[in-house]
Amino acid sequence: MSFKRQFHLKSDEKLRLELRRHPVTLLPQIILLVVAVGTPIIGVGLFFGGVPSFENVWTRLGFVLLGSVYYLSIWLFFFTQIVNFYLDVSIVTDRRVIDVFQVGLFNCSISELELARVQDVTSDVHGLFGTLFDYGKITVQSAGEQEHFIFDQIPHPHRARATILELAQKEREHEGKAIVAEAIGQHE
Amino acid sequence: MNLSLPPFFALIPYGLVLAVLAVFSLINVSHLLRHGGHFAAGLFFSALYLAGALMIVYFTWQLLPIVDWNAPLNLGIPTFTL
Repeated sequence: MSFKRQFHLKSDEKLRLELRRHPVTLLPQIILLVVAVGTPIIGVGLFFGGVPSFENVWTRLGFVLLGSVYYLSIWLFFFTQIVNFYLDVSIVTDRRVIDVFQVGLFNCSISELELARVQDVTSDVHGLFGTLFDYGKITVQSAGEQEHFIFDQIPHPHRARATILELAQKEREHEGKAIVAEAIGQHE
Repeated sequence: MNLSLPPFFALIPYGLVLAVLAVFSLINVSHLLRHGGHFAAGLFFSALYLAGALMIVYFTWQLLPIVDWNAPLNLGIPTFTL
């Protein structure tokens, strides 16, 4: 399903930014996958000195089937991490900011903020990896309320901040013109 | 006297675990295709996952011992009668 249908974007509403975590933030999960896949293979190789040949059929059955369940579980766990990464998205249209926060398979929260109400946008880049790969945090503060949006580990946060501010400015101008036009229409 | 069972008994718990994993896989794929925003990318990741899972099942099948699955086989656990 496209974002247009998913978030019920209006016909003239255009998608300007699609913000996901930087792919390099998946590195710990990839390392975990490699370790989890490699450890039993190395362990069995060291313990049995090669591929074990079990004389008892039941022992072999148990060994193969348990191994299969182990690797299928790891593969599913990694896939779930990828799905969480992919579904954890923030989109910026020319009218609003929509933040989807996916936690696990069964928890998802969606928040929305009109661009005209955006008061302040801050971008932070911290740490060695953040600086090397240019990813960091964007905080969007809305006017009048204490509420704020935080997009973490976003690629090119300074560029994204500039785009959000520019879009917010345009939206405010657009809203201002609409209010003036409405007032003139009522006066006439 | 030794306890004997046909080897297909070992496949029953394996099948149950596979069914549970399949349900979680389907939920993941459905999430990805319905809420991912890009159907093609969702399809690509799902196909990649499915290919990996099928490869694991294929290797499992290859490594299984060649036996008559229905013929009772000695478990190797001795039982005693008083």
